[in-house]
Amino acid sequence: METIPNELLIQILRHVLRVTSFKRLIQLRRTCKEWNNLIPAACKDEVCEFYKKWKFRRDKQDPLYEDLLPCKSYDYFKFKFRDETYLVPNDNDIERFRSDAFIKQKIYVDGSYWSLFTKWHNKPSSYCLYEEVVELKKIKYLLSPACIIFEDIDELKKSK
Amino acid sequence: VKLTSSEGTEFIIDRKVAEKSVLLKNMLEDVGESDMAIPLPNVTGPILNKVIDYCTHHRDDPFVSQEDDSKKVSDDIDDWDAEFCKVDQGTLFELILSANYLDIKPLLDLTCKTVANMIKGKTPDEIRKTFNITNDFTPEEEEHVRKENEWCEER
Repeated sequence: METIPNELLIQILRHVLRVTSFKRLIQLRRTCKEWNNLIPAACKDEVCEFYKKWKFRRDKQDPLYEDLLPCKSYDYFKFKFRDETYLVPNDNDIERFRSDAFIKQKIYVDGSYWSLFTKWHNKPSSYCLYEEVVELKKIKYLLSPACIIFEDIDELKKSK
Repeated sequence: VKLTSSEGTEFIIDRKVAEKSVLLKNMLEDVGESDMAIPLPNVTGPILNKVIDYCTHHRDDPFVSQEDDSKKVSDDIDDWDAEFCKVDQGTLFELILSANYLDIKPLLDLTCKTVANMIKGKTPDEIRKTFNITNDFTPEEEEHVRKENEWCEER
């Protein structure tokens, strides 16, 4: 297995994902350090390919960074979401979040941009998952731990 | 078309068979008609022999787009292909590397799917044993990874 370069190992892991589930694949992160690093990449590639409507965005320390970017821009995927994330529907509520401890993000909900505030925990490459045209129920993905998102995608895969 | 393996063994195959490899197809298009053997320094004779077997068997297969192919699940392996992949692990990995080098996507998919099927259903410990992978985590690191991904452990 050590002769197989990372790009091919990712392909193999993506095939594993197709015959199992995110849950099963993520369990295999404990195999070794290389797999621990490559499995998130395999999951991200698979999500990007098969669930094109989903996009990832990165939280940045810089609050001016508010553009919505496609997932292809990112080279790594973190499974954990922040514990403290708030959706703020209008500017009147924003003031209480004006603190260095929060990172502002912009998301698109029902035809208008909403602000999303996330408490900063010194994890510069955490990700949020969102849908470009979001129905209100989809907001839960923004606020859910990644495990719930993957479990939902596993269910979707089963129903296809 | 003449091909030379890494040890210098020469193989003569039909152009249609050679063209299952995108690398060879492009080379042949660039070079045109020629008696010169194409050297394949990254492929050994026995592996090249296997690759030629595969390409000969699948010479009339229609081109499968990446999108169509990616929809196929790893269980979709026909009998001939399954028999073809009944080789030792070293050979299987060499086939993966050669399929990648020669750019033969269906063969790369087949061999990757075969390895994926070997992984499917196994625990991390069983995978380490099967593929001779060293567990390079310290106990603390492994526990950290386990905790981080606790949600996916069987309950």
